[in-house]
Amino acid sequence: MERSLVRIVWVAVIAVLASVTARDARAACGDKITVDGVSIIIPAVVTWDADVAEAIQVAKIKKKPFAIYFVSKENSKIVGESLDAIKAFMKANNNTVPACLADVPVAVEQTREMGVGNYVKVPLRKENRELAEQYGGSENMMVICAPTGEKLAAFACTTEAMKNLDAVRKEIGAWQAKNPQPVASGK
Amino acid sequence: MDEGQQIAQLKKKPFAIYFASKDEVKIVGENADAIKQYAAANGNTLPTTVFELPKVIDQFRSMGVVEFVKAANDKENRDLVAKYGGANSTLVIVAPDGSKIGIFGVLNGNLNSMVAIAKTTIEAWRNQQPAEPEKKP
Repeated sequence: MERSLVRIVWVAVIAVLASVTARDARAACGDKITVDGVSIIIPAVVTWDADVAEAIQVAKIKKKPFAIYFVSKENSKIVGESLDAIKAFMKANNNTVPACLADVPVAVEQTREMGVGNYVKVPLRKENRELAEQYGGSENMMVICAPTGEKLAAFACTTEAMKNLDAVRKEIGAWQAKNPQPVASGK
Repeated sequence: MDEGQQIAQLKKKPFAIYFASKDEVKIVGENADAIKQYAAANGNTLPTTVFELPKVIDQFRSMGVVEFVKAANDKENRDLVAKYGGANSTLVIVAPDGSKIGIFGVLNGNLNSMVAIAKTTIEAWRNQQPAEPEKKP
């Protein structure tokens, strides 16, 4: 009887996992907290590379595609950052946070599953104008690149756009087919 | 392991090795499909670390740990386990030169107190490192 109950519980857990969506992935690493009366779910922290040059080096080590996330100077202070940074931002911005705060960790989670190995955040300021032009990057856009720096795909990090990332998956899959990876041993 | 260390050396930041049983290593940190397959093959049971570890990793990411690798606590990795004193469900924080900074049990009770100790330990290591000018992307 007890065993059946445990089994039912696990089946329920699996059912939830089966529908892993952006929201589930986020909730897995975050708790709901209240900051000055405003409730937020803590988004996952993202390990950002220092710059595109570093991202290319890491991608070459991993032999996997990497992603460049283009974001406004202001939002770049909190997207994928720690709770301390988020709290400071909320304090300075009338307790508001941009939607991308929650959406980007979801995009990271989804693209990681597709085989993207590392991420770099590029604030849209003067010094990065050329880079944005080179990749066709605009506010809240994620560009997937091969380790050589060649652009493979791009998408907007919005809940709506992320409902269907089949085109992105296809481009990454095509690159992977041309650049086969050794099978991971789990070690 | 080599990949993790190479990236740590490039970034001059610590990386982590998660030691787990041969079974657990197959699914921890993997996607929903892998977890479903594992559960189906194991009487619909899962190790609790499947749910706990992502939270722990998130905390370590915010402390500046840049890369996470997993290693099975088995014969094949005997030297690695011995070198770092790894045991099942432990996370070893490693400096870019390969030396151990600290070891933390993922299942040993209170996440908050573990995080607080880890922060102090990593901070102490960081304070011993020569200062680097911050890069702006």
